[in-house]
Amino acid sequence: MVIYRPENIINLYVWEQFKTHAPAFYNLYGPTSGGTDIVPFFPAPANNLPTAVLDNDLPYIMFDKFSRVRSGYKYFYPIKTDQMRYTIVGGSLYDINRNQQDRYATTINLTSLIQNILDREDDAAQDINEFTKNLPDYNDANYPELNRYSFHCVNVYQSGFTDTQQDVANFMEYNPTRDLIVKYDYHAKQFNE
Amino acid sequence: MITARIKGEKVIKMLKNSVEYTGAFASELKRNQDILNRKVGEESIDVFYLYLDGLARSHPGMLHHVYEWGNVGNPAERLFELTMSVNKTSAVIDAEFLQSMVPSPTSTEPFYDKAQIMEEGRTVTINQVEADVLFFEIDGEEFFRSGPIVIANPGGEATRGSFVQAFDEFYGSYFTEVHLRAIRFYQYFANPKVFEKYFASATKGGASSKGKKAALSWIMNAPGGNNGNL
Repeated sequence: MVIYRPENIINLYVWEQFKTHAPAFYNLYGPTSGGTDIVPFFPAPANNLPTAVLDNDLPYIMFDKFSRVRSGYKYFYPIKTDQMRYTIVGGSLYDINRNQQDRYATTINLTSLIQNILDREDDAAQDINEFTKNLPDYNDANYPELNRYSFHCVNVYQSGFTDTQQDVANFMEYNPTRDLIVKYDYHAKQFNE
Repeated sequence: MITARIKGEKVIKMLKNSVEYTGAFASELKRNQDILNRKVGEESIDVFYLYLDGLARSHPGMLHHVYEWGNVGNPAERLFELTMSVNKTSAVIDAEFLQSMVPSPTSTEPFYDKAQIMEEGRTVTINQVEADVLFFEIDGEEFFRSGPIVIANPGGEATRGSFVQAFDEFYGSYFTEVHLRAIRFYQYFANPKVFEKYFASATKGGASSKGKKAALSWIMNAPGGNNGNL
């Protein structure tokens, strides 16, 4: 049984939206025969990327949850505010046309798309809650209640910290990145409920 | 004859108490500015550590130098420290690099001033001290050399200025634009709930002390510090 964390659910939701809004990217990660499909959201540091990603110079997204706070006086204490960093690594969408321009465009377009998908406050939260109704295992009777989440609000902020240094000695090694900070308010069932 | 007597004295007293309460509230807020500065400063330091650890995990090539070897983003292996000084008008945060205590996997001595040198992108020259030649390995191949070896960028080009860049980004935008909003710091101070809480009783008496109490309570209960982070 898959046990989900809030960040996993958001990643899967974004990936699902890519099917419609970024098919060129989505279709690079086709179904894996006889194994689990690759969803190209990897926890940082991305030390163990699948060889398919590295060998084919594919774009991917690194995520790192770095902050968790109570959401302050506005909400009741069960509601938490987490933040995760997305690092969008451009890679190439076109195997025969691996060039800098392609990588930059891919990075910027994916970053912009993620922002459009998630930076919608309670509308995005409502869509994610709807999305969880179709997650495998999540709605099974024996799925742990404490790992079921209800999202309230999602915001996205751009971060100016990027890999700006260019490896001129080996142009093909260079992958431009862009960072986003995703903030999400949610609650789960409490221990004393 | 039917008579109505209006006692203005009571109303005037209430108004005087209101003014006294408001004055005491405002002056106590001003008097305790340093408490608020300290609270926000401490909050920023706590959050900066988490922020930089996360940033380093996502960008290890740029920030590996401010952690011990092989421990990028590990909170227990940081090579930087933030300190704070507070006065009435501000909290000032300073960052300092710490000495690396652990030798790299290919060395027997710690790299002196590792974080500082790599952050500044300084050139390092290695000379033999006791032996006749220097010995080193590159990709498993062994080399011997007599005379100095100059390493232009010991941490790689990407580390140059990257900690400063992260520090600037954090204090320039993230902390005020993202974090303080996330803990609803501004919303808290935009809401006069605490002021209102003591107002009614202050108009009846004890205005000054209640004004001071309300102001202090407002500051002490602000989000941040131990009131927000988990």
